[in-house]
Amino acid sequence: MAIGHGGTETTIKYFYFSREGLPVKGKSVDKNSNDDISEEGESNNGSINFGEFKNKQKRRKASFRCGCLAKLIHKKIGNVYEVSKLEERHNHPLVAEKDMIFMKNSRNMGYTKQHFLYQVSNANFGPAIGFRLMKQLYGGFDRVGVTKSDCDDGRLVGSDIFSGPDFKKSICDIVWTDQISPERYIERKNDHDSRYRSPEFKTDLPMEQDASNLYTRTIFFDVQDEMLVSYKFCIALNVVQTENMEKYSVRDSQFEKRELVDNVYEVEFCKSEMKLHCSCNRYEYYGVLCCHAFYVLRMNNVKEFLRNYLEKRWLKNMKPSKFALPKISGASDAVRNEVLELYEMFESTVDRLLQLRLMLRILNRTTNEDMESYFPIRPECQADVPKTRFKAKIGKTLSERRWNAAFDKDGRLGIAGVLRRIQRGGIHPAIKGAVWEFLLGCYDPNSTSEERKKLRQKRRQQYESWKEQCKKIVPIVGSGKFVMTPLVSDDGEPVGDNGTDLPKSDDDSDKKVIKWKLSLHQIGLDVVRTDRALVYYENEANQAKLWDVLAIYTWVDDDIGYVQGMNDICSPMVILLGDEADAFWCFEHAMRKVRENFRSNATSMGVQSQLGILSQVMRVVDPMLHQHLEGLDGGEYLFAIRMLMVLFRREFSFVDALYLWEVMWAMEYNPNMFGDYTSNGSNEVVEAKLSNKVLKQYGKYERKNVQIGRTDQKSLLAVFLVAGVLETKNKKLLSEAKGLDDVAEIMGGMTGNLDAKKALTEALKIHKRYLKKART
Amino acid sequence: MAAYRADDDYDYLFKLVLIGDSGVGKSNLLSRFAKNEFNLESKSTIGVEFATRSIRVDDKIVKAQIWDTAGQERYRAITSAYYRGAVGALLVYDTSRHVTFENVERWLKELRDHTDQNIVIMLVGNKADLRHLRAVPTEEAKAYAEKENTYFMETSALEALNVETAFTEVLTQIYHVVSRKALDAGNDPSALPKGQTINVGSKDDVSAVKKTTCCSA
Repeated sequence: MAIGHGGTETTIKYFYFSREGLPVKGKSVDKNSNDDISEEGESNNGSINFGEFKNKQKRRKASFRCGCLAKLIHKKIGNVYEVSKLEERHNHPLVAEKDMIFMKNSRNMGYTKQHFLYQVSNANFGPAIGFRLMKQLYGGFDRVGVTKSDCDDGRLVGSDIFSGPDFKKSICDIVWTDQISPERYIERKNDHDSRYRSPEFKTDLPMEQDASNLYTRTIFFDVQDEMLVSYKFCIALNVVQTENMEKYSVRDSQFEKRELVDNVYEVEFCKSEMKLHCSCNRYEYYGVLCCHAFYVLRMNNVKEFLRNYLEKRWLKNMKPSKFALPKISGASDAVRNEVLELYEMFESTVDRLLQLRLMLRILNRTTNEDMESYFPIRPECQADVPKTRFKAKIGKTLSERRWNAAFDKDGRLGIAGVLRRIQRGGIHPAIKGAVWEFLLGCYDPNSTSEERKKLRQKRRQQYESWKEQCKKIVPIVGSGKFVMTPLVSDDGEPVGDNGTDLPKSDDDSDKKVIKWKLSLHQIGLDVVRTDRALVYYENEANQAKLWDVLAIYTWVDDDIGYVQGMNDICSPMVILLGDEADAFWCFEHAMRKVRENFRSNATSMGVQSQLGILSQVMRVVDPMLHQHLEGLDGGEYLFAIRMLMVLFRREFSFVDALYLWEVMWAMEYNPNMFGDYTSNGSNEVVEAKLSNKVLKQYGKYERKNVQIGRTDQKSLLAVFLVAGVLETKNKKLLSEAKGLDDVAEIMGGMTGNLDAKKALTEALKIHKRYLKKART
Repeated sequence: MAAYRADDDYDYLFKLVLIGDSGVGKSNLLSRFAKNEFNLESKSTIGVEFATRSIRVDDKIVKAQIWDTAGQERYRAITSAYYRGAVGALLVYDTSRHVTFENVERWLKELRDHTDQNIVIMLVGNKADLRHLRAVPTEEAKAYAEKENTYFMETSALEALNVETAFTEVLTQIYHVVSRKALDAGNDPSALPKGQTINVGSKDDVSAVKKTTCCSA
């Protein structure tokens, strides 16, 4: 279609587009034509060497090539377009949707696609996976919009995003995944070209147009070349007329091996029967009429291509024989064609589906879900948080399907398999909450789902009743709001200026109540500073949920109370478990492991006992580093306090910390945990033979402890994690740390640079080494 | 203002502590001074964090080693271990929360119990940008600082207001104390061993104090 664009000026400028929408540019050079011939299409140098036949040869307008009349001419007047001419009629069939991909304009890569590829390759996926991803995204290669030839002729490379031969090459390598695809593609493309596209005509012979309608494209170009040559190099020398036969002597002056070879051929032509024979015997050899024949035909003003000189196999409407498989008898040609078309489409669809399935399998293996999408980070905070390294790996990470399959029909959990899986690759974010409840010993894996349901109900009621108690004392509990200013002064007198009018009750004199109230504003101050980078905590209701859980925990565990850092441990539970009571119990069980760390008095903190163990471990495992640190006054390992208090939350990204925790808890898992917790610590040590089966229900770390009978000492895996981290920095600490400040700096510089998996492996190694050395 | 220099290139090393109630902005004051960064999403400090920066005072490079402590009282046992050897302290309160100012007295007592008499203390009223929320009048704080014989300054880590000045002032004062002491002792201050933490008028041996606790671990 030609679109004439009228400017505001009186002279109307026309921009022509090829039917496919791409601006006319460059020369279209056919493989079969030599340079001389191709020049006539676009005479760039101005010299028209088409001789006497076409002395007014002009640049052919794309729309004129096929003679399509459809056009729209419009003029811009002010803000309105005035259509001065509109012709809707096309002289060619419009392209079917499934073949749209062969249109030139759908074969260029849009910016978004380029950008996508660029980003993918930036993310170090490599263009191969990127391309596969894109194929999947857009529904197959067809939609991607780049072909092998596009890559070949460097159309892609022209864009500013991609450059360099490497990219070009790799794209070419990956466009086709197997051997047969390119063949199929070329076949289909040729098919399409033959059926729906009009080639550029090089002569004004009606015969040429006729031939283009009959022949498939490739053969047509051959025929066209012959016709052209007939224009250029053929001259009739003489004609001998016999009865109904004319005998032409045609001189052919084509260039042959740089030397002008003059050959005279005899063409016999019978006009009445439309039969001809040329002494060059080209038709007999190749099945295509020769230039001499065309010359004679032209001389005789033959308009139609000679039907009896058509080779059937080169015709457009020929179908490969395999398509004739379903024998359709008694149907008209139209119906048969329709059926064959359908058959073809069906076949290609099946092919496509098979290919997609394959691709999906590859994708399954190669793509990693974006873990952060489960815990979205506020866009403005992206730069401030450490990068997440954890990726759910198929076959390693505990998936939802695996998890559901781990329960028997009564709902008993096969913990051994689950533990094995978690220790290998963590838990998929979708089920973290539910799995954590078991890992932390909230529920017994050997219980039925019915039993657990009851227990859960009981616990929720328990939580509600505590919440009610708290609400009576401080009404703001459970209200969706929280406090950040002190409610009472140190002596228990209410502080009036915070707007919350407190009912004065006798309970207020109670020491426990005052202590609790004193901690509430501290919880509030910390809640607003907890994981602020997460979108989740943009919602004040979620902040209040965290505050409630912490406030009630503080109320219940008045022995320890609230200590900064508990918020960091509680936050993931609140996010992972929708129900507030469930979150509370999960947190409560997590606290059972680390609660002693938070105990504090005027002279010491509970965490120091863990630091003491760390010191012991280091002394045994790496005496040199230990001595060095002791020399720097760091023998107390106070610099490791944060790692132990908040279990590495600050050293890792949110997702990575969760991964570290679950693997750590899985390694620490003890099947008696639930029993120990419910029996309130009065556990009689069952000295039963530890069968292999039972041992499998232990986590790696705990198993080692149990095997050698070390159950007395409550040392957490976290201690060995710290030791492992120190070990990895061993050299740096020994050589660069000249003071505690250097140690703090080296340890502080690790934030975001640690790999959870490696750290855990290292920790287990050190544990093993420690046990071995400590025994001897 | 002094230019940043290589880490080891300094004449004096002064240890400072940042103390004050929870949530007054100690960590952001430090990050503003040390890295010129301010983070609205900062997290609560667990135990003690640390940063350094060197500045120039009277042609001498002074490296400040600043320990940022957790505000909650429950961490006192840990944080007080870091007071020892400190020659300067910034006692921070929040100008928009009066209660944090009320607690200054307690913090002062804490400091004086654990540190040397000659420690240079500056009372810092942070969050001065929250003008509409101001709960502690400047005069009140100033009067208090005079009474307690400490320096005083109002800052805003968010607006980077006075942060530089506050730290520089403390470090300069420490420097003066040190050079005066050195002169009294008839020594050239520059003759002091490089990189040595200077204890202002300390009589007890710091490392000795530490050793005792260390063995208990």
